[in-house]
Amino acid sequence: MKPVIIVALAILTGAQAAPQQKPPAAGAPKDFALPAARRFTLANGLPVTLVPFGQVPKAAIRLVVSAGNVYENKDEVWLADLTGNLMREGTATETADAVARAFAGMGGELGISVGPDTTSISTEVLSERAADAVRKLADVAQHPRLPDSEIERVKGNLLRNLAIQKSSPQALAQEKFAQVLYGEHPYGRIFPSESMLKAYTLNQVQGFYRTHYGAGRARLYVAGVFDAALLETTIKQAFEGWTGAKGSEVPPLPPASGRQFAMIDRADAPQSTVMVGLRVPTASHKDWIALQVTDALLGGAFGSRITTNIRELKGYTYSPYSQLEPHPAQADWVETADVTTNVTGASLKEIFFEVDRLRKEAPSAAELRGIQNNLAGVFVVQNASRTGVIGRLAFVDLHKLGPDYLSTYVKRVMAVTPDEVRRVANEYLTPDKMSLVVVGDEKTVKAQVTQWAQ
Amino acid sequence: MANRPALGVGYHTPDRMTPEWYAFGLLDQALAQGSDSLFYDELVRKKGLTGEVNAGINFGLGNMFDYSGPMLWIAQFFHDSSVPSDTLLAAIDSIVEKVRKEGLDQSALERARVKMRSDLYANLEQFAGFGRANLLASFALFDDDPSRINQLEDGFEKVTPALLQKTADEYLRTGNRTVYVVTPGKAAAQGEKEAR
Repeated sequence: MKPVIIVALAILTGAQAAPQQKPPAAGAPKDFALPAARRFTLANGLPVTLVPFGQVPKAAIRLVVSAGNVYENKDEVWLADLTGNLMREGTATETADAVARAFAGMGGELGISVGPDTTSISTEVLSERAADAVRKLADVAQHPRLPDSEIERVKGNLLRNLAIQKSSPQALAQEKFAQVLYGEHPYGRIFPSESMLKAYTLNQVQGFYRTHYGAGRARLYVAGVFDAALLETTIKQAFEGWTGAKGSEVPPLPPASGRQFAMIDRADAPQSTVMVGLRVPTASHKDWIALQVTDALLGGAFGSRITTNIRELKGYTYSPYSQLEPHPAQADWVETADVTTNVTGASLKEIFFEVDRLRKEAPSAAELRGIQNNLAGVFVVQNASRTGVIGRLAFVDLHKLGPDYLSTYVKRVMAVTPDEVRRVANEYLTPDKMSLVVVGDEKTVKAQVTQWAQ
Repeated sequence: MANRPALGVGYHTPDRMTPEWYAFGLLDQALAQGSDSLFYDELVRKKGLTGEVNAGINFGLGNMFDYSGPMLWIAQFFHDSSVPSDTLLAAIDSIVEKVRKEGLDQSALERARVKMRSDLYANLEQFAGFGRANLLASFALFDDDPSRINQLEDGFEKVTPALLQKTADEYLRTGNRTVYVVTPGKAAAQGEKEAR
């Protein structure tokens, strides 16, 4: 969603090219004020956050559970996905089609999404049905049927998704890059093999569910227009019987290595997918905000240096971008680009040139101000929806960032100085620690990239 | 790059803003939107012929409110190579034919209306509020009447079971549609689009 919005905004701005007069300067970014939230914790330890938000008569509900892929063992890749997908197949008292019709009749749909750290069970319904939706969602979370009769079909769907994803060079690059960065740690495993996925049993799914799904490992969020008193009562009734789950330890991260290089051959490919990056401090670190500004200026924003260089000036690529991917203990920074095959080496040269330049020389105040405005503006836009607000709150809770993270975010972004950007780039974006993955035509590309392949 | 076959069907839709067009919007909801839809229930949940259903009026370009002129309703499905596209098409046809003959029962119609209302709100809120501006602009440009944005819910409210059935019967005819089949790994001559 993020790149789409940024590109769309860029196009809107671009459409006004050749102005007859300069537009007035943009106003100063305003702080994001979170509407007064009601927070309480049930006796079984389930924290609940209710946020009145907006005027449209809908309510979004999301239960975030510590049941992501990070809790899978080495031979269990996507077991979390299989569990999540099988949880859509009915509850102890209702079949899957009845559950689907019930959510649809409230104007919503049951969504279960499995991520690296957490799994979310969510829906977004018409306001007058919010309490019914809470009850239904609570039933799905606590009493999933996990029917043996459906497991082969659900696996078949996952196998199809796997095959589709593995046909994309970007996904192959991501898989390899994760491996290079995180090794044997679960963050290093993106895809299962087909045979691994086919072999999962219902017993394993039930085991994963029992170990990771429980009140003490979850948080509930509601945002939108709703009757707060009714919802609070309903939530207490619907969730108070949920017991705990013992969970499992996330293995410690292996030490970060120096530069590693990996190439995946895609014979005669007209483009190379390149990923360049390394592990960096995560959201709870004091330099996180400055790191985000640095990322945006270097490669994250549409008007960033790397994008300007290899897209606008050189024309090597269409949509390069960098991003920070934060996990609770560690984040990684990566620049990704699909570049024309014969300029793969040249693109890497420019990427490293921009990293080096920023590490040596602070950006001008004007350049930095543009990036800060963009980052602050995008932040507020992304919070301007029920699910956006819930996403931010869940992020703050996952990373234990404290209650004022959201309300002070814009101020802190705007306070980052040019020299802080240089310092952060110098400290964390160390080129000789950056690993490199290239998916492309090996016979053409290899010679171009050997310089960085050690 | 395709390594999974795919099947798509496209039907001409009724002219926008007519009673039949509103009915067709509800048909889209009932047949193809969400995991309670007739397509999902039969093709995904019961028969396992495909993993998901992707469909819509003005599919892939916008929504049923932000276009002018002739339009298609498209539904498309990825499937495994072990499932012949004819099998999938036959299953689609039997669902469609049942709705053409019998329409929807009252509870299914009401559910389609609720989904449509919820979807309309989602459209208005899309892209942090640009969705509302998009619809206002569309109705201003195409109809010189941005206030049409306020008449949409009423249009869907007025759809009767009889109108819905009549619309399905007329517009979901096989003569009113195109089928396209994507077959990976075969020569272009075999894999190219087939019109039926």
